[in-house]
Amino acid sequence: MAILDWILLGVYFGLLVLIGVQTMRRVKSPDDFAVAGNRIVWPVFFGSLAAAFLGGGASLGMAGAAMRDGYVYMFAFCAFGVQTVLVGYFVAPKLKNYIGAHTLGDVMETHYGKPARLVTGVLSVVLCAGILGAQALAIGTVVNATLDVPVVPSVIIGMGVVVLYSSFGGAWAVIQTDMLQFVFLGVLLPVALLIGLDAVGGPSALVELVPSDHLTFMGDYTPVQFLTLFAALLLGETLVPPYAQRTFSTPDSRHARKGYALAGFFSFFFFFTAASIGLIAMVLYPDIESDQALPTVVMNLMPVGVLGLVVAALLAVVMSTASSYLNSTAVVLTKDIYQPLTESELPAKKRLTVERITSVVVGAGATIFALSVPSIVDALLYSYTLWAPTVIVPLFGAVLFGVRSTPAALSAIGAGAVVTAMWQWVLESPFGLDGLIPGVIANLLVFVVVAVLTNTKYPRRPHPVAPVLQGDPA
Amino acid sequence: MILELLLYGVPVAVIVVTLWVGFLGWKFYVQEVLHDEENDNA
Repeated sequence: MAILDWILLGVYFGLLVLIGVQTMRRVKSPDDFAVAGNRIVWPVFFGSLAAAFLGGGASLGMAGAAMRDGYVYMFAFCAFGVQTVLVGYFVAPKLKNYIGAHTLGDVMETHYGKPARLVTGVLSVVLCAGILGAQALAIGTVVNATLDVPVVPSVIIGMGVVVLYSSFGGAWAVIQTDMLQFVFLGVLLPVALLIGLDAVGGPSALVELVPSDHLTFMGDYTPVQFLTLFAALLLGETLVPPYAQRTFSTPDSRHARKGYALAGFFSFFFFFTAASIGLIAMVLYPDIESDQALPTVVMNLMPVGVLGLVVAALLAVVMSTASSYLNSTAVVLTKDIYQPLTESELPAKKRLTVERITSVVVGAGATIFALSVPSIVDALLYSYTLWAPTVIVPLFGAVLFGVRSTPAALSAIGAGAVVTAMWQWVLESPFGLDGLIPGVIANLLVFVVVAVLTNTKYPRRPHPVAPVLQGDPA
Repeated sequence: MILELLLYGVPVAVIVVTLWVGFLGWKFYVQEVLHDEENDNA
């Protein structure tokens, strides 16, 4: 990289710290730390949510898989966009009925009591910690692949900046840095595609040079293979804690619906961009490992100046996801696990301090474990498979249908977890079917049956609708 | 032909939407963070 590229990369890191410092003054209460005082209007919610979910999988992973399998992987990945649009239209607006909510545990406790909050909190923390650790490692991978800097100092510097702005600026800093990172990746990845197209000789040349099955809807996937991947991507990351927290940070249901659904529509275009870069890598660098597709295109084709910015964009992809999960871990640990276990309600000021300290400790812990015991991160990432088969059905039952049966929620969570774990890790995924799918089916069946059987004792009652705030707070 | 249009059209659309959302986000940042900070100092 030329000096200009290093300077531009330094400017990117400088801007992240500056935003952290400027937003720090905005954080005066736990509301500010967790949900940015419910002030986040839809364009900011849209950009921040997109930056959070367009992580390594949607960019580096997508380009690599498209190089290997073709556009079929992108079509399967579109399941995530479909889910985001549906949650945006039907669920996200209703989450705004829960005034003062910071976490999904708040919603679960409203309907199913304290045990449900605690279980949701534990599942949320394990999931978030696993993804945070994975992002810490990914920072090292990106820096090592693009700048040839050793992994350990890369991870320490990258995570140091993330911990710094997340701990002091809370959700305000995380959301505002997300916006910066959204602009970086939303502009520079398409620029990389356009430059790559030029290098290949234009779209016509690309279409001619790529094997025809790489351009078809099903590629060389079997229908079962495609549907399994589609279902896993449709359900897997549904309303995970950082997305829910972003939704709570909007001022009203209108902003929640618009921002969430538009981010889903945007993801289709982004997936196409990242997948097309994978096809360019296949044509220009057929001998590389597929997971190196995006870094190789960037490092070989970007001109001086643009290269530094694109490396910043790749780092933005990982760092925005890391900061989102770090903030969520701190908030959930404090609100859903620490606070219910203490005898009295924590005063607001003390809770803010606890959340900040937790954020520093979790960030430092994730960095240390990622570097020294990466197998712990792998173990925590198993919980990713457990999210949809446990929390999502009881949560949707509560939010959409007003279900309040504690036995239904707790037994469904238990059944979903057991079936998923048995299918995935004991039976080792028979028929190539991800454990998530039988887990969600078991979770749904147990939830519906127990909710119907206990309906007399726990009648359904939707949560009262919150008064919609009038006017645009921006 | 459609794929060729998409290969140019989609990245350009992504850039335009990103810049537009980024501009709205910048306006929000100035109003909510920078002006709020000035008010605090005043």
